Amino acid sequence: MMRAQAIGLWTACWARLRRVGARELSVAADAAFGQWLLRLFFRPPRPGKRDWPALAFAALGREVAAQLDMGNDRSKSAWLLRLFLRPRRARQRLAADLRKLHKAPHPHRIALRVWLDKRLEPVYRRVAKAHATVTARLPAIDWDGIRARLEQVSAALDRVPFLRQCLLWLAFAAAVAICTTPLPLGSQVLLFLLVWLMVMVARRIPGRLATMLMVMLSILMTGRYVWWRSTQTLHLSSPAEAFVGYVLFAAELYTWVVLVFGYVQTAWPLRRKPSALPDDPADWPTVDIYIPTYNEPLSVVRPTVFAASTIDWPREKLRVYLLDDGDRDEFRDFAKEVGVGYIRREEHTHAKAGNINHALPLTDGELIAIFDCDHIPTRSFLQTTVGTFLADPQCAMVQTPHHFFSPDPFERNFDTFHRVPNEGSLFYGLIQDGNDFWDATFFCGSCAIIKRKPLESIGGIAVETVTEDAHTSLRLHRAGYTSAYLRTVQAAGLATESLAGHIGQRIRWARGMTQIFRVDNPWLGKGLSFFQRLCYSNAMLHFFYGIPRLIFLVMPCAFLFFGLHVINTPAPVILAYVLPYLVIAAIANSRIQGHYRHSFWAEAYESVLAWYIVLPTTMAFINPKLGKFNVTSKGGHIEHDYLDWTISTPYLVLLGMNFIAVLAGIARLTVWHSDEPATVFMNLFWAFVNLTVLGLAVGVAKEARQVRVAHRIPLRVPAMLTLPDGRTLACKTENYSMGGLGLVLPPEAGAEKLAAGERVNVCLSRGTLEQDFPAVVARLADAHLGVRFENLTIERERRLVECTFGRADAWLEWEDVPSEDAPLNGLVELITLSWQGYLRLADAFFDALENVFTRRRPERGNPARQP
Amino acid sequence: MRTVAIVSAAGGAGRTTFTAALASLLAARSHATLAVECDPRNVLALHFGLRDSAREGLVTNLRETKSSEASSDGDGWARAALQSDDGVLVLPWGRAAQDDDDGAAHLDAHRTWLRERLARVDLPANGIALIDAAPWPGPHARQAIDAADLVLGVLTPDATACATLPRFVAALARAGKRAAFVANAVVPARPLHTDIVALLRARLGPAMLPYLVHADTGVPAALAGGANFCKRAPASQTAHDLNGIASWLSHWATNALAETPDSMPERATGAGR
Repeated sequence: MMRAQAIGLWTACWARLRRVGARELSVAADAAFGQWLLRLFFRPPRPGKRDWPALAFAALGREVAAQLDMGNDRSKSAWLLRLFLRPRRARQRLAADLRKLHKAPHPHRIALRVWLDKRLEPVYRRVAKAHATVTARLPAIDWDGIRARLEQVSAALDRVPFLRQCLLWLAFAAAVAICTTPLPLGSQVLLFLLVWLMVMVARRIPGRLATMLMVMLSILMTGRYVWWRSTQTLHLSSPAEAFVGYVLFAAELYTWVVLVFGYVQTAWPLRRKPSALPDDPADWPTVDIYIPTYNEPLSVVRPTVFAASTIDWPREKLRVYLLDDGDRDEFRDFAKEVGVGYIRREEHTHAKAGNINHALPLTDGELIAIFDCDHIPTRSFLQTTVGTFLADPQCAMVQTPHHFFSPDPFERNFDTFHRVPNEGSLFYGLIQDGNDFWDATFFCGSCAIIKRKPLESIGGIAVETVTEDAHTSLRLHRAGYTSAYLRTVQAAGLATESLAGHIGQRIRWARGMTQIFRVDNPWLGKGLSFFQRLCYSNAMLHFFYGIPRLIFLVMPCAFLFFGLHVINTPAPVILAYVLPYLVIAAIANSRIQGHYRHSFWAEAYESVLAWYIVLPTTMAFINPKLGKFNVTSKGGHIEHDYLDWTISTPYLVLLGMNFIAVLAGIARLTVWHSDEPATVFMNLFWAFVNLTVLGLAVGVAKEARQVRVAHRIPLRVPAMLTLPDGRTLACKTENYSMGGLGLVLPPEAGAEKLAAGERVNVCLSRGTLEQDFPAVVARLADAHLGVRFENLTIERERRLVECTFGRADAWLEWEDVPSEDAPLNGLVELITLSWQGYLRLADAFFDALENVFTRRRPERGNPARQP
Repeated sequence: MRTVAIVSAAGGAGRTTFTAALASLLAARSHATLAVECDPRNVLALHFGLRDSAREGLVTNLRETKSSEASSDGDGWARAALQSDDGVLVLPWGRAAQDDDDGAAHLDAHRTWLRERLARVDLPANGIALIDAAPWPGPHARQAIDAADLVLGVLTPDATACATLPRFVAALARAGKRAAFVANAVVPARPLHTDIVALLRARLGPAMLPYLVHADTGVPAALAGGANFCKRAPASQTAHDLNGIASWLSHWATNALAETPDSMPERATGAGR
């Protein structure tokens, strides 16, 4: 009561004081403190003049706020805080932003690399100069001439009857002799050097015969290693050692089998050429195009349907069907608007296989082309592939590559898009081509065309496994039909958007292939040739790499922790046998696969997936009926950078194990003075290799923020831009995406000003026809104009897809891989990326710590700051 | 010297603009170019920057012939030629004594009048004469076709052009002249235009040049401003199209020179690359 009165009195007094003071000092009664202070010392300005003191005061205030780094908060407590404490600065990111780094003109911003370059540069220059003078003195060797002569000699020898068989038996006998002869250590090293020299010389000679020679030498070295390993090293003393030793041996056995099968599979890529169609279109067969879809959004399916409806083929012989397993009405309406068929079914069993099988009796084309809903075909797809069916009546299936115009998780998170060939490039560029030589090309589920009669004779698409495509082509081969692979890209689609999605897709393939291995083993049953069995089983065995790879990742711990000798021989002997095997195999593989996969990247791909495919493959191996079809999601958008902790947890565990093993190894050397330092070093080296590989696996788990949703595809064709006032400009396109186009204005256009939102017309041509599209300007920077297509009619959208995605040459230049494989360069790059992986891990760790301690509220709509 | 007649079966097809633009572009390609106007409207010189319509021109010769019936060899008309900034020689029609006198009577009486006049012009071997003629059918167009080595038909993408096309082509075939056709003022945003261009291509086959001339609002603006459109807006698509046609003509003229006269009649009506 008293208190309230006192407060009331005080407020009244203060208000009175303010009123009086306001009148005297000519300040508003409710003015701020600053105004009062100002008016205490300075008179108000005369009417019409500027208030210089106030302006000066304001400027001073701003300067002080800037010096104190105030930010937007100007309350009294903020001022007080800032007078004494500095604002909290954001932590510097340790890991580099690879995207920015690769765009910078000088790529080596990493300090260590710069220092190394500076030190090694003069040495390198001197060596290069010496090398140049020496090679100038030596006579020039015509490597290509050697190749030509070799091919002539081999063709001549081939004509001699029975010589081939004799030579093969002789070679086999010689190989057995070489592999099983025990040699002392010195001789083994000498043999390695000799073989290495031969391989280096053979490497210079272009052509397939030299490749064969390198493969033979690699098989010899592998054979020696296998023999020595099996006979000399498996005398293991204690049960623990025996167990671990035999586990390691089994893992190595797997790698030997896959290596040799791989050599056979890719020995002679067929490089098949398309066959010509007959001149009269009346003789061409009818074709149905199936586009099965389940839960993808309509925006992903639209371009595929448009492109399929405008494929070059007589109109009356082409029918497109949208097979909708999701029973969506908007799809039905869309199909009706566009004028393609729409098929729905009541039961939704067996996913895509069931969907296609349901549509088979409802349609009647002689050939069936199948496209995934996001694989957009070009206009030349049918004209390129159908000829093969007419040339070979037994051919039941023609497969073309799956090409992706967006980066997959590895390419995006490591920013290697267009610089390093992606994971699928080995399969579609080389392995399927090699399969084609042995007539073992298998169906990959999309971008392929199948003959109806053979498909119906085997009962439609196989439904017993989750990789119904490989199983179907296995059945077709058993029934005696042939298949073909054409290495021209005729369709392209979106890659998996996130690492989680990527792993999910690979798990499905692994599970499916294992199921086929169990249910319909290629080695058993009739109908397949020996080489077909080999190729199919190699494709399936490939997916069992999980357990061997995990074993290799964990093995150094056996010696470094427990001192188990799993290979009972001294370290130098091991090295003398292992090194030739590994080095020659790496060189031979680089020669065979170099264009399609750079050396050592297989380690990255397989290691990331190893943990995740172990369980599905093991379960599927034990009981093939387990396992459901999980659909890969396409078309998402990653908003922020983040480290996918769930994906990388197993690797963090393995990383921890290897790190502790390294520490144990160092302890063994220094503290406990181990009496076999060579073995410790070898295991330490192995552990370091494991750490590098695991660093890659963790590094790829940091999902890079996707800058835009619609991926841009380069395209350079002339285009006509009609400006809003009716003038025209002859431009060139630069890139396109779904719903947008990038144009480059001609230099003579001078300073054309186009504001965002202005309406223009873009005219693209398809052959001699011109198609005009109304567009809206998105932005104009330098001479680069970006336009957006909005509210296109169905017809216009179809024409746009025709002029962009549907061009026959849309994917031609993507078949040229950007850079040749340089194994050592690639190794350095991988080590750098692995180091970046560790830095990313450290960043994520500190971020997590910070979040825990500061309990920062998640900033919505604010993308993570880029380093 | 090769002679090209630029004719069309409909008025307002853009012949004069076309002639003027091509003439400048050919002069830039080092051909000695002469642009002749066989059209009583007398507007060719305006396309080269002249403010008023020309007074002297081919009508000078018509006047001379009328005044002295005996000889039509007066050469006063030769002094009526103008030269533009870029080196093109322009021979306009000129202002007739009476505004509605188009000289048709005289032209009908002397079927080879224009050919004889042009034969007296002494241009170097790589010279090209472009004759801008009044719409066909008409005496002026007939004179131009008769005088030409190549007839360039300008077609607008509308139904009238399609309707008159068969008779036009037949007339050119009867005259035994090689013909090439170009679509002018095409707006790709209009489906009618793209459809008609496709129809023309189907009808004419190789006789239709692979280049179209697109419509551009800068063209009439340049004419009104007395400027050369291709120089003012070299980045426009229309300028590119005109350059393509000029290159084609230049190539034809140089190749035609290398050919012997005997081989010409075989390809009398076939044209294009």
